[in-house]
Amino acid sequence: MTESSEAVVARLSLPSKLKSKIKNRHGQITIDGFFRGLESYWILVKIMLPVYFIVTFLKFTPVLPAIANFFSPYMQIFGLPGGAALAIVLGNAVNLYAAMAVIATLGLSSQQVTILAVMLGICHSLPMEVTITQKMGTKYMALMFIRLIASGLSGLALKQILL
Amino acid sequence: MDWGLFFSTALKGGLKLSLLVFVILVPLLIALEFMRQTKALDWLTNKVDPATRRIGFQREALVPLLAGFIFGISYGAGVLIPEARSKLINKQQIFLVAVFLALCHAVVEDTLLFMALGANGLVLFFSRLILAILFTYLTARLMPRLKLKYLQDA
Repeated sequence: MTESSEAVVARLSLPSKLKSKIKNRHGQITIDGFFRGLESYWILVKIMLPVYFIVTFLKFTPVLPAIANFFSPYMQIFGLPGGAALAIVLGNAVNLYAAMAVIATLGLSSQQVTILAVMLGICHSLPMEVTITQKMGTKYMALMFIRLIASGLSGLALKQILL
Repeated sequence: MDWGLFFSTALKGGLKLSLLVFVILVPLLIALEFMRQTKALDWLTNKVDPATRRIGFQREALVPLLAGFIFGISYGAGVLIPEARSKLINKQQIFLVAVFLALCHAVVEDTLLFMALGANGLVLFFSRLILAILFTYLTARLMPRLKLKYLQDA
């Protein structure tokens, strides 16, 4: 089942034509790694940039605050004030930095910040990360639901433990 | 809606994101290549393997797993995608890596960010880690029984 690192190297390294021109061993490793990095980089950037533009567009529309308004009455089940809904919506729809800007204005207790941090730590930046898991070629919708459920459950559990 | 502001924000942010991913991912993969070819990686996976084996990971899943755990899910994917394409890692293992990383990734960055806001770093780190281990373990246990068509290798 498991392969030794030499077999992995053999299957992933550059075509022998290019390889034979590079004499120095460390130089050759660097170039191998650089090209693999470049390949992965291209795959990632191609999917990350469009998602980034769409999410930035969303941030400029009133859609996200409206969703947050809808959810704010339910925040008390996690022991959080209604304003925390905007942090959760922005954290999930945009990224953690957007959520942090909101959290800083809420005046939460240390325990409440911890609850919010765990919920957002488990489930955040969904457009970006769901697209990335999709590119990994795996069950990305199932993963998204696992994250949402785990995030909600950990919020409920931590409210009981911490507050 | 302020289109000018949107375009300048999106372009600046997009450029910053592309640069950030480049300066982390390319050196990361060069470092990994060095570790692979000097056998340092074998040493590392030997150390981690007994623990990760218990929750269902095979050895070939450990490199993307560690990269994503420390640096972030995008970087884990950056390591995993080429290995997945050259069929070095099978679909069950990819799914397990994805389950673990979905729940617990970029532990250094995320933990420090929230600690700066006053969160308890230990609670944050261990909640995510324990949930990720739990879900990975359950998935690994359930996968053979589910017999999902998707998870069968062609």
